[in-house]
Amino acid sequence: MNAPATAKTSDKKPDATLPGPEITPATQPYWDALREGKLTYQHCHHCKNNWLPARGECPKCLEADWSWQPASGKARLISWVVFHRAFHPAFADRLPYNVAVVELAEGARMITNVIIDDPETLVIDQPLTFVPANEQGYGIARFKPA
Amino acid sequence: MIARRHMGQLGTPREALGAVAVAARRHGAENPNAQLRKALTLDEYMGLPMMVAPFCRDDCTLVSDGAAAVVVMSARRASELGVRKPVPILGFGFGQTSWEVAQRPDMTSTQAKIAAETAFKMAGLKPKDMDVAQIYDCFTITALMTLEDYGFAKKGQIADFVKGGNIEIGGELPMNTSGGLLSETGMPGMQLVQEGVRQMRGDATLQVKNAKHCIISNQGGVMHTHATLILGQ
Repeated sequence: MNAPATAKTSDKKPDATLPGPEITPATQPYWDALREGKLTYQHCHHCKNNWLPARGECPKCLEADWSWQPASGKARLISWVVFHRAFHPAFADRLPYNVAVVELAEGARMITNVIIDDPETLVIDQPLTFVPANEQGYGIARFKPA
Repeated sequence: MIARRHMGQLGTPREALGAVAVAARRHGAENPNAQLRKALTLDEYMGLPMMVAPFCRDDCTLVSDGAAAVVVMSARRASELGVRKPVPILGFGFGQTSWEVAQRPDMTSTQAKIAAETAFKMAGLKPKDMDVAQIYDCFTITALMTLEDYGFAKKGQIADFVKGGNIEIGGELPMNTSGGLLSETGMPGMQLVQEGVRQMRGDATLQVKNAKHCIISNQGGVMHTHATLILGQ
């Protein structure tokens, strides 16, 4: 009914603004720490499990008795893919770029990028080190080969 | 992520992924109802540009709209109704894991193993008794891992099993004989049951000679849920 007068999608450029994270009370401490260049994870006092991403209960034992802990920054490469087509217009000028799953030495897993010139040289399980980064005001966790 | 882990951890070459695509496309080319009727050689596959490495376009399911139905009834009822060539279900099984891919402790096997063990036990059969297979192939790696989890090859040895046309018509285990999700239609699985029924009835376009047992797989999520069906005659 109330279609915008300018509505011609073909005339519009895709929005290349990097989509920001949806920050909730549960994830706020994680993003606050990252903005200061510090990587943190959640630690369960009940079963000693460590995890990411942030949530209200331990994913292993479902207890809510946990605290934020600073990560050592050591990790290993679980797997990765290399995008040759941009998943989002904001990533178009980064092609090809990698997206990786890494496991922190403490056990928590996260999705990230590995900073590397040639992703063909990456190896499953290779050791990595945390590198703090900043994207449009958000702290971002990346990794590089150790 | 799963495919790369499989390749890195178990040494699976891209040629093994390619064998799944080549088989599906060869069979789909013979299927007059297939959406993509264009055969693919392994050389062509290996030369395709990457989309999201290690996948190229032809590792990925088609995008399709469609519908399918299967009518299930007791053998007695089928007999009473005079159903032409009813196909018995010999075994079935299910398996489920709740881990999201990134958090999954073991990325390279799935609950397809449990689903198949349950179905094989119910049917009183083993992988070597299967004459034809319809394996869910949303991506090439999915079919490879399912074949491993079903016991057709040991973990990490699937490349040897699928090479040389072994999963094509005329091979040891013809797979996705109407083209699968990679060539017939990207619908989420019922078409595989229908092709299994055709094979057991002897009505398939690419009929496997003297086929007596067909194993069929399906799954949901990102390899979260898994189901196995064994059909007979």
